[in-house]
Amino acid sequence: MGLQIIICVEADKRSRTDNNYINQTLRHYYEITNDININYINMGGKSKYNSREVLKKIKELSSDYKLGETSVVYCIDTDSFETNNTQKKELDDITAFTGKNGYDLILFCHDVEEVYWGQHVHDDNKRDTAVRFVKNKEICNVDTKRLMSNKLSKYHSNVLNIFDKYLKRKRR
Amino acid sequence: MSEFFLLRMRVNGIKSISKEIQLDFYNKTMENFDPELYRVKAIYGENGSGKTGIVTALNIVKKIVLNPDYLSQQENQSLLNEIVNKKSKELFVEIEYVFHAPAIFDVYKYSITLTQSNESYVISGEKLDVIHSYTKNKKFKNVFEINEGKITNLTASDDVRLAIERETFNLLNKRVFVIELAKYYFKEKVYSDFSFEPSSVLLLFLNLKVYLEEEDMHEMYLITKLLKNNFPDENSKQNPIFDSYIDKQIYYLDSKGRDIVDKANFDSYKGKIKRMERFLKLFKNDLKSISIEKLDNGSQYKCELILNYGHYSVNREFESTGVKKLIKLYDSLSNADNGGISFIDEMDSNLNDIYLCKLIEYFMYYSKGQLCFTTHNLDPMTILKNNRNSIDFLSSNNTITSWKVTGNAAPDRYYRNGMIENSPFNIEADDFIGMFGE
Repeated sequence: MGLQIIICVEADKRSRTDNNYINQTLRHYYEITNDININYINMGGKSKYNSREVLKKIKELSSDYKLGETSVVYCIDTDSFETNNTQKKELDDITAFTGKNGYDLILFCHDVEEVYWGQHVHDDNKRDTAVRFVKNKEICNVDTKRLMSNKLSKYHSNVLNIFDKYLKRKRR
Repeated sequence: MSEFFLLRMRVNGIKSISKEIQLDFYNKTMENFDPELYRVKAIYGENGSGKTGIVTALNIVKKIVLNPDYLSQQENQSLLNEIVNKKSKELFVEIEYVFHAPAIFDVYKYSITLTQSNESYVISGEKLDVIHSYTKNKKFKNVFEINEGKITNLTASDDVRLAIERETFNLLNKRVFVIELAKYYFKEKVYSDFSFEPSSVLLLFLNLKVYLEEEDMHEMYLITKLLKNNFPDENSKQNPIFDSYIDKQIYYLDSKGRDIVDKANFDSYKGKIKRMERFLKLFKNDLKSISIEKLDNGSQYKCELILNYGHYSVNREFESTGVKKLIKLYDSLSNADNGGISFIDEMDSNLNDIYLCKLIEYFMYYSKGQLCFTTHNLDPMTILKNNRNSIDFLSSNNTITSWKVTGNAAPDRYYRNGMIENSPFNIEADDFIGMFGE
């Protein structure tokens, strides 16, 4: 029985920064066997989480996959939800949306760069930093505990907790 | 008109293939045999999944059947040592085929197993089964079975069996029995249903053409290896083995880019070049003609092809890679068109997508034979998707998944998105970061 994981990320197809971090996480921590099919959807912004294009793509990939179950995982930066009401509302909306549809939600607090680098990265440097992350195999230097938090706290994410539900770990 | 049609092929133990793979070429009921929608098959798979291995295995069996000395030749043993699966050290190929002619409809199953013994490969098993005048309830009847060089079953009278046992004593490790049996019946002028059984295997392989890219023939590698192993030392300048390999190397280099044609067959060769000229003109509309420059070489001619474009001409050797590929492919395509069976490895390499698809379409609608090819180009899927058993996916863990028509589903999209069983790809552009250079 196969399993398809559709990973919806904020980054657009061109910058692909989220893909870099998540792909490295999957490669580093999990055994990706031939019965696992991973597909990314680059939403092109957090606000597009329920856009017609994204939902169409999810529907298309889900209905095409006949080899087993499909799980949809949204990867979202929390941004400054503690201080910014608009961002807090958006996060609440996405949480409600994913919950309602039975999708998983991976949160990066406050963003993917903070989690994987342990520091803030300026927008202008995000793409180069993501490339450097892959090139230098920085995933080896990330504290695994930071990727296994179910609490929303700075530099933390629940990314491994979510993928643990579906994939077999090759390292702890 | 008589015709061979390949129904099924099973392969194990070649290159990366370490589990038995089965290719089905026909899946309709045999009662109303109609191969029209089954004449073309494309095999897809990741790099290194074993597509070339399948074609190579068939090529080896063809050579063993048609060349009685194949397994006694050192260069072939070297090749087998390199390309038979390193773990199993055993190569198995089984083919099931139909031979039909007016009032004849027989189904055959022929298999051969090569096993490594004392550093060289020998035939450890060979078997031929048949169903004459096929009907649903009939079962295969064994024609013969050979195990470890011994005849363990032969459907023939005791006299014939004794005579053949005598003639093939100590030979069946290195030579296929099927040909020895066919030769015996021919020599003794035994003409009947059962005497045709072994000849059908010979005829099948004569009707089968296998095309492999030059690097997958490994000829230069083998010649160089043999040359190195037999290089004469200072004290023995006269080394006959060395001389014979020098000859082989010279022959190999000499025959590259030119055809060696028996004088007796020169007229039919000329006819073939004329037909090929028409074929190439479809791709190169400024091509005026192809002329043959022949060099006398005893009972043969060494023929070079010159492609004339009116105000200039080009020797085949200096043609574009694409034109050279078409020239090399022509024999195999022509064989499939005329009722034969052709296997072509990497049919898409150096061929324009549009021409490739039109060629495949031609074979689907007009060809009288069977064409099976490996490719990485996804465009032919759009054409082949409505045929039957025409798209196979070979996964890296040696499983075959055949595309089944499901509504308007597009096989290329499914394949790209990892929806084909055991072929998820799971490769991202980001995976290449840092792979090249600093």
